[in-house]
Amino acid sequence: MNERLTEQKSIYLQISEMIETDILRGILLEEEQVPSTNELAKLYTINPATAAKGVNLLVDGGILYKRRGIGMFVAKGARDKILAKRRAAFAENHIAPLLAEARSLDISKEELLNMIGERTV
Amino acid sequence: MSLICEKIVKTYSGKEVLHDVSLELKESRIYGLIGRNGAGKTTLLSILTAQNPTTSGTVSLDGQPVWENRRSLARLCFSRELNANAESGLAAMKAKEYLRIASTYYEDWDKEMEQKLVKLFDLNVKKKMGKMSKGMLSMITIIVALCSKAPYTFLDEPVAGLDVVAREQFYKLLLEEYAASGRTFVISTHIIEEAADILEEVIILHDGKVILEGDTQTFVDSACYVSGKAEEVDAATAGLETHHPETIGRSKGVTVFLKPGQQVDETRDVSVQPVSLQRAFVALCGEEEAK
Amino acid sequence: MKRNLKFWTRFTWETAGVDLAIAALISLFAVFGAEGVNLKLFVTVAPYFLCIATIFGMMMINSGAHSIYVPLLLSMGETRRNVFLGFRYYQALLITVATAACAIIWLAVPGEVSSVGLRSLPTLICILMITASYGSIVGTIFVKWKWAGTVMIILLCGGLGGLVGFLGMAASMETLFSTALSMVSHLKELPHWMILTAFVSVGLDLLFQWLILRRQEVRL
Repeated sequence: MNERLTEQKSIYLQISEMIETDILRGILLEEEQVPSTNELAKLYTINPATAAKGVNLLVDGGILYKRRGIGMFVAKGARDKILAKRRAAFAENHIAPLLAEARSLDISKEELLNMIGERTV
Repeated sequence: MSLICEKIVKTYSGKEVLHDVSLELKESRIYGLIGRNGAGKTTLLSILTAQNPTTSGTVSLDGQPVWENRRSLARLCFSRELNANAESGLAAMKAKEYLRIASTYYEDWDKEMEQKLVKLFDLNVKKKMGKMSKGMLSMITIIVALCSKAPYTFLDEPVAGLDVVAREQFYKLLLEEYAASGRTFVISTHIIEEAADILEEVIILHDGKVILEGDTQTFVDSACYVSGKAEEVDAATAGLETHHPETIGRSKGVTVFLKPGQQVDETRDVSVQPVSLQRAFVALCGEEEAK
Repeated sequence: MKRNLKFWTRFTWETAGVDLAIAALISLFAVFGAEGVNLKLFVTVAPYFLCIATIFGMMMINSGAHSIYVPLLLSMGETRRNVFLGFRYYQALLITVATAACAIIWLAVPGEVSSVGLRSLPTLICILMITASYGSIVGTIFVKWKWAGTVMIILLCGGLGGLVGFLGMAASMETLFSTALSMVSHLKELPHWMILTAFVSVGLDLLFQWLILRRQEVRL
C-alpha cells in the first residue's frame, strides 16, 4: 500500500493494482477489511472519487466485497483470482517486451534461455 | 444543490475579462480552476461569490440569486489570496484580528479547528499581516477557508509561497475536511502537477473563456503525447485534434486530444505516451508560445 | 444582522477607546499649558476635549474604515446593504456615546461651564454629525479615487493641525481655559444653517456611499 504513484498510468488503476499486490504479498488477508476510500485518498493525496473508482474495479472483479455500513473486505479466494489473472497477463506484459528488446539486440532464443537459466526465480 | 452562473460577462474599463462564462458547480466535489496569469480566475471567483458585480449575467445558488442575498452568501466562502503589501489596508492588521472578524461573520465558524490549524502551521497570529511572508498569508487563507465550514468554499492560490511540506499538509487537511463534511471546494492554482490528483473536476479558463469543464481523469485520459518521425506522427494523428507540436530535425512530438471513439493509429511507428494534467494544460493554453 | 451588529458594536468601542486616548492627550497638553489647575473647571471642560477627540477620531477612522473594513466585510459574505447599515449604526452609536458621556459629566458636576455645555449639546451633535459624514465621504472617495482622497485627507490633517496649533497658542498666550470658554459659549446657540448643514452632510454621505458601495469591487 505504500508504493508511490507514477504518472504513466491512471491513478485508479494504480490503486487497484496496489491493493491486489498487497493481497498477493499477504499484507492484506482474505476476509480482512481494506482501508476506506477516504483513508486511501488521504494516504495518496488523491480525490476520494478516484480512490473509489479503483476500489470499485476490484469489487466488480470479485476481489473485494462490500459489507453495508462497515466497509470493504477482501473476498474469499481473492488471492487465487489475482494470481490467475496476473499469470494470464504475464506473457503479454513481461515476456513480449523482453523478446522485443532481445530481438533488437540480436540475442538469440538460446542465449536468452541461458540467461534465464543462470538466475534463480 | 448547485451553484450556477449563466452567461457571465465582465468588463473593466472597456476591456472584457470574462466572456460569456457559464458553469454549474455541483455539491460535494473538489474543483480545480486552472488558467494562466490574467486568465480571469480571481475575477470569476469574485463574481461567483458576489464580491464583484457582473457586467451582465447571473449567479444563483439553488435557484436563488447570490447578489445581495444574505442567505445564499452565508453558504459561500471565498477565502481571498492575501497580499498585504504597503498599499493594502490589511498591512497594519494583525492576523488575529482578521481571523476574529472571519469568525464573527461566518456562521458555522469552527473555533477548535482554527486553534488546531494555527498550531499546526506554527503561525504567529499576533504578527501584523504586512510583516508576514507570502507563505504565512497563504496559511491564513487556508485557515479561513477550512474553518468557515461554508458548503461552497473557494480558495484562490492557497499554496502560493508554501513550502513542500506545508503544501502536502494542506492537501491532506483538505481531503480530510472533504471526506468529513462533503463540502464543495473550488481551488484556483498554478501548481497543477501536485493538485491534479485531488481535483475531481477541472475547469480551464483561458483568456476569460471556459475552454474545458469536466472530470479530470476523463480529460487526462483523452490526451496523449505522440512522437516519432514527423511523417509517421502526422499520419498517426491525421484527423485528430492536435496541439502544441514540437519538432527537432526529423523528429516530431504532438499532444493529441481524443474525442470518444477516436484513437491514434498505432500501426504507425510512433510512441504514444500518457500525459499529465499539467502537460495537457500547457498543450491547450500554451499555443501562442509554440507558434 | 446579528453578526453585523456584533462587529460594528465592537468597532465602536474600539473607536471610542482611540477617542478617549486622544482626549487624554489633549487634556495633558491643556494641563501643561495652563498655570495652576482648577480641578472642577478641568472636569467640566474635559467633555469638550472628548468632542474634539471624537471629531479627530471619526475623521481618521471613518476614512480608514471604508478602505479596510468595508471591502473586508464584503469579502466575508456580508451584503452591501448590511455593510451600509452597519456603518450608519456605528456612526450613530459613537455620536450617542460621546455626547452621552459629555452630558453625564456635565450633569454630575454642575457649574457655569456645565450649564453652558448642556445647552450646547444639540450644536455639538450637529458638529459631530457633520464631521462623521465628512470623514465617511473622504473614505468613500479614497476607495474610489485614491489621489482625490489623499488630497482631502491632507487638507483635513492640515485643518485639524491648525486648530490644535491655534489652541496651543491660545494656551500659551493667556490660559487655555478662558480662551476656549469664550469660544465654546457660542455653541449654546444652534443656528438653523447648522441643522441644515448637518442633515445635508448626512444625506450626501448616505447617497454617496450607497452609490459607490452598490458596485464596489472587493480588493484586499
